[in-house]
Amino acid sequence: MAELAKSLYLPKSATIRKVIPMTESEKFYQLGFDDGSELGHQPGQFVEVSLYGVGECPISISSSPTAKGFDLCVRKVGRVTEAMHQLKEGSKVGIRGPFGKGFPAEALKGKDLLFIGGGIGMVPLRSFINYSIDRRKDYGRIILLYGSRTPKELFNFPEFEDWKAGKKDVELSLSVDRGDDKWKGNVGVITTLIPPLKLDLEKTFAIVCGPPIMYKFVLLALEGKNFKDDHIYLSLERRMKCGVGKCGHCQIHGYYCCQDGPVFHYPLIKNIKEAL
Amino acid sequence: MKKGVIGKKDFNSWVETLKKEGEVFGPKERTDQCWFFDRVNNPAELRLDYTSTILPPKKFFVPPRNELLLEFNLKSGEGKAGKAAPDRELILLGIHGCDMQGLLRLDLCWKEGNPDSTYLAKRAKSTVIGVSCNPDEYCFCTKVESNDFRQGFDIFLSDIGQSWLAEAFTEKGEKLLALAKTTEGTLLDDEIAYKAKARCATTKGPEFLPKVVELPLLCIDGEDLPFWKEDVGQRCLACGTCTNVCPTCYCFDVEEEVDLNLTTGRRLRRWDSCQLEGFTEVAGGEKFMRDQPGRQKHRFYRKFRWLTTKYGGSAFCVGCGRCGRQCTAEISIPETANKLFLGVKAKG
Amino acid sequence: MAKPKVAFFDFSCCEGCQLMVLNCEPELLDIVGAIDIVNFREAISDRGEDYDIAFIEGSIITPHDVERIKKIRAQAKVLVALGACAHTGGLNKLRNFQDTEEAKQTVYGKDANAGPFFEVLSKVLSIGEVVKVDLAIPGCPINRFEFISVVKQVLAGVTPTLPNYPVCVECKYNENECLMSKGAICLGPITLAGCDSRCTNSQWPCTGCRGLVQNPHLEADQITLIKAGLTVQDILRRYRLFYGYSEVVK
Ligand SMILES: Cc1cc2nc3c(=O)[nH]c(=O)nc-3n(C[C@H](O)[C@H](O)[C@H](O)COP(=O)(O)OP(=O)(O)OC[C@H]3O[C@@H](n4cnc5c(N)ncnc54)[C@H](O)[C@@H]3O)c2cc1C
Ligand code: SF4
Ligand code: SF4
Ligand code: SF4
Ligand code: SF4
Ligand code: SF4
Ligand code: FES
Repeated sequence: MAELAKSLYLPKSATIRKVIPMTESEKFYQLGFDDGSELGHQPGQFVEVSLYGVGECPISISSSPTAKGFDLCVRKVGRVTEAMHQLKEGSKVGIRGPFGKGFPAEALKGKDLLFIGGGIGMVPLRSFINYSIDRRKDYGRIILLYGSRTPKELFNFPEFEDWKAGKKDVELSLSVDRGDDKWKGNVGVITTLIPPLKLDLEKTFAIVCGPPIMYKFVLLALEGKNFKDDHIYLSLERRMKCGVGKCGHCQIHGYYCCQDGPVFHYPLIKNIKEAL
Repeated sequence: MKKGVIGKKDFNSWVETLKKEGEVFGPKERTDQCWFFDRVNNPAELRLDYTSTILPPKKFFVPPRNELLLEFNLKSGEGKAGKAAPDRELILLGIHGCDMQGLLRLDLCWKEGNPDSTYLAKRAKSTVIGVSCNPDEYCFCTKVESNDFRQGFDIFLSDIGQSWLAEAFTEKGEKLLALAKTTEGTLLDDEIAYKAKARCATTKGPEFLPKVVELPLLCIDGEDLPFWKEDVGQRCLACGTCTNVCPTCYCFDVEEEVDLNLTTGRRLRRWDSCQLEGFTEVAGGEKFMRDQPGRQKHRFYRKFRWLTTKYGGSAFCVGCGRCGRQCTAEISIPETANKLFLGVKAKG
Repeated sequence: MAKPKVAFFDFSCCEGCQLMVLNCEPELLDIVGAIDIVNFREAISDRGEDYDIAFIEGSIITPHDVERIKKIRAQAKVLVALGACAHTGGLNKLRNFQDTEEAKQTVYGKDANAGPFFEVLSKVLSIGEVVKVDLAIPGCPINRFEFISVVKQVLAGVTPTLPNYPVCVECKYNENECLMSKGAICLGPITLAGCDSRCTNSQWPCTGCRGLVQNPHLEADQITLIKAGLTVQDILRRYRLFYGYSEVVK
C-alpha cells in the first residue's frame, strides 16, 4: 500500500544540469534523476514537474528517449512556471511520470513525417524529431513547419542551427506572424507553409502541436491538401492536476487527456466539439 | 449470510460495543429535518430514520479539503507520502442503498488504471452498516437501478417496527453482528423487512421518463437540444453545490501549504467541481468547457454516458436526490433527464 | 535573507482589518519573527519610512489620499490591498450612488464644508483605481487565515493564489444547509470564496463582502432571487452593498 502511494503522487528527485534561456519568457532545462535512472519515456509524453511549496504542472518532455537525461522547456505564465524560471543549475525539482500516450513512433516506422509546430508546441515535437533522426533508417522524410509570432520567439534549441543548415536531413520551413528588421524568411501564419509542400499523401503522416487556436486552421489547410483524417495526430493541451486519470480536469468527453492523450489520433476526436 | 433480530431497546448498547471495535460515524440531525454524518459519541444522537444527509459518505474517504497527499521539507528537499490508512477501523452506521452504490462507483474509479492508495487504504479499513430508507420526493434510486441492499454492505439493518432485522453479508459483518444481543427472526420479520426496503420503490419520487439503459444513447441524440442553452445552462449559477454533494463526484484540485518557518509544508487535496468557471482554464485564458450549458452537459454526460460506458453499464448517478434537493436554481437530474428524453422524442 | 520590512497604512475605513491582523495572535508572534514591522498604526507608534511590503487598508476619498498612496506605491516593492475597502472600495462605494454634497450633509451636517479635510473626490476609489496593486486580500473584514497564508507565500517568494470559486463551495465543505432553501436571501453563489463561508456557518446569509467571483452568473442569480420574492430594485440594493465597484450594479 505505502508503495502505491509513492508511485502515484510522490515525485522523484531530479537535478537541473543545465539552463539555457531561449526567449524572453522561455527557458530550456536539461535534467537527470538523482538516483541515476532514466525517464524511459516515449516521444510526446509529459511529466509533472513539482516544486515543493509552490505546486506542480505538466510539462512536455522535449528530448528524445535515445538521449541521456531529459530536457524540458518552460514558458513563464504563472505560479509554478515563474518559480521554475528562478532555478539555477544544480537546483532540485520533483518529477512524476512519464505520463500519457506519446506519438505512435512504432506505427509510423517507414513513413514520411510532417511535423507542424506552433510556438511552445515545438517542445514535444522536438522529442520525436530527434528520435527519428537518431533512428534515421526507420523513417522516411522529416519535414518540419515551425511558426511563432515573432523571430525573437523562435526557440534556439541546441541542434537548431544544424537543422537550419539542412544538416540533419530535416526539411525545415520557418514562418513568423510578424517579422523584424533582421528577418528575411517567411512572414505569415503557419498554415501558409502547407499548400506549397510536395508530399506523398499515402506515406505522409502529420503530427501537429500548437496553441489551441492553431489546430482549426492547420486542419483546414491539411484538408485542402487532401490529407486523410487518419494520417493526422494532434497533441492537445488541457488543464491537468494529477496526470494519472483521477482529478477530472483534463477530460475531453469520454477521454482523459492525461491518459488517452495528450497525443490523439484525429479520427478519435474529430466529432467532439470541445476537443479542438 | 447470518441473520438476527436486534430489539430497538438493545440497539444502543450494541452501538456502544461497536465503538470499541472502531470509530463509529452515523446520521445525526444538524438542523430541523436536515442531517449529516458525524461521529457517534452517544448512540442516542443517531437518527436512523433520516432521509438524506447534506454530504454523502465519500467525505470519509476523500475529505472536502486539507487531505494530506505529501509532506515536504524545503531545506532537505525531501518529500514523503501522507499516511494513508487510519489506525482504527472506520465503521459507517446507517448508510442507504444509494450511498453504498455511490461508494462502489468511487471504488471503481479510484482503483482503475493508477490506483489511488490514499483512498483505497481508507476504504479497506472501513465497515459499512446499511439501513433501510425513508425516501422523500427527491429520491429516485430505483429509476437508476441503485436500490441494492446487499452489494457492498457488511451488515444491512431493516426497520421492522420494534426491532431491526440485521443481515450480515461479510466476515467483518458477522463478527460485529455477533456482538449484538439478537433473537432469531421469523418469516413475518422477513416480510416486514422487505416492505421497509421496498419503500424506495413505493414512495412517490420525481417523475423520471427515460429508462436508465437508454440514457447513454439519448445523450448522443440530444447533444444539440436547445434546452441545454436556454434552460438549465441559463439557470445554473455555477456554484458547484451539485457536484460537491454528489456521492459519485470525485474531481479534485491540489494545493500547497507552507508553514511560517518557511521550511516544512504539505501538498493537500480539495474537492473541485466541473461546474466552476476555472475548472478547465489553462494559461492564456482558454477554457475548454466554454460555457455553463457545456458544463451542465459535462456533469450529466459524465453520470450517464462516459463513465457508464467506460465502467461497463451502471449509471454514475445513484439517485440520491442530493443535487436536486440542494440546488438553488432547482436543477435536478430527473428534470434534465426528462427534458432530454422529451426533446429527443420530439426530434423523432 | 534579510527580514523584509513591512508597513501598514490606513485610509478611509473602520480599521477592522488591521484589528483582524492583530487577532492573529499565536501566528502573529511567528510572523513578527519572520518580518520587521516598521509602521503599524494599530500596534506600535514609531514609524519607519523604509519598507518593502505595504499593506493598505481603506479607500481613497480625498485628493490628499491620492498623493499619499502614490508615495507609498513608489516606495513599496509589493503593495497589498487589505480588505474590501482597499480592494474594491467596499461599503464606501455606496456613496457613489448618492450625490456627494448630499452625502456630506447627511454625515457631517453644517460642518460639511469646514476645512480642507472635507475636500473629497467626486467618487470613492479603491486602491487599484489609483495605483497598481500587486495583491489583494478581499473581505470586510479580511479572513485572518487568508492573511497569514498570503504573508507566508509573499515571504516564500511565490505568487499567492486566492480562491476563484464562490462561497457556496466552502458552505458545502462546511456542510451547511442552504439558507436559500429556508427563504433567506444569500449572495453566496456569486461571491468570491475564501472566508470559509463564515457568515453562512452561523446561519447568516452572505452579503457579498468579498466581491464577485470571476464571471458571476448574474442572470441565473436574479432568476433565483426573483423567485425568492425580491424585486429588481431589491436585488440592486443588495448588490450595491459590496459590488459597487462593478459594472453589474450600474
Ligand atoms: C500535456 C501538457 C504539456 C505541456 N507542456 C508544456 C511545456 O512543455 N512547456 C510549457 O511551458 N508549458 C507546457 N504546458 C502548459 C503548462 O502546464 C502550464 O502553463 C502550467 O501548468 C501553468 O502552471 P503555473 O503554475 O505556472 O500557472 P498558474 O499560476 O497555475 O496559472 C497560470 C495560468 O495557467 C493556467 N493553468 C493552470 N494549471 C494548468 C495546467 N495544468 N495546464 C495548463 N494550464 C494551466 C491557469 O488557468 C492560468 O491561466 C503543458 C501542458 C500540458 C497539459
Ligand atoms: S447546484 Fe444547481 S446552480 Fe449550482 S452548479 Fe449545480 S446545477 Fe448549477
Ligand atoms: S447526480 Fe444528484 S441524484 Fe445523482 S447521485 Fe449525484 S447527487 Fe445524487
Ligand atoms: S466531472 Fe463533474 S460531475 Fe464528474 S465527477 Fe467531476 S465534478 Fe463530478
Ligand atoms: S447558504 Fe448561501 S452560500 Fe450556502 S449554499 Fe446556500 S446560497 Fe450558497
Ligand atoms: S459569507 Fe459572504 S458576507 Fe460573509 S464573510 Fe464570506 S463573503 Fe463576506
Ligand atoms: S490530469 Fe487529472 S485526470 Fe487528467
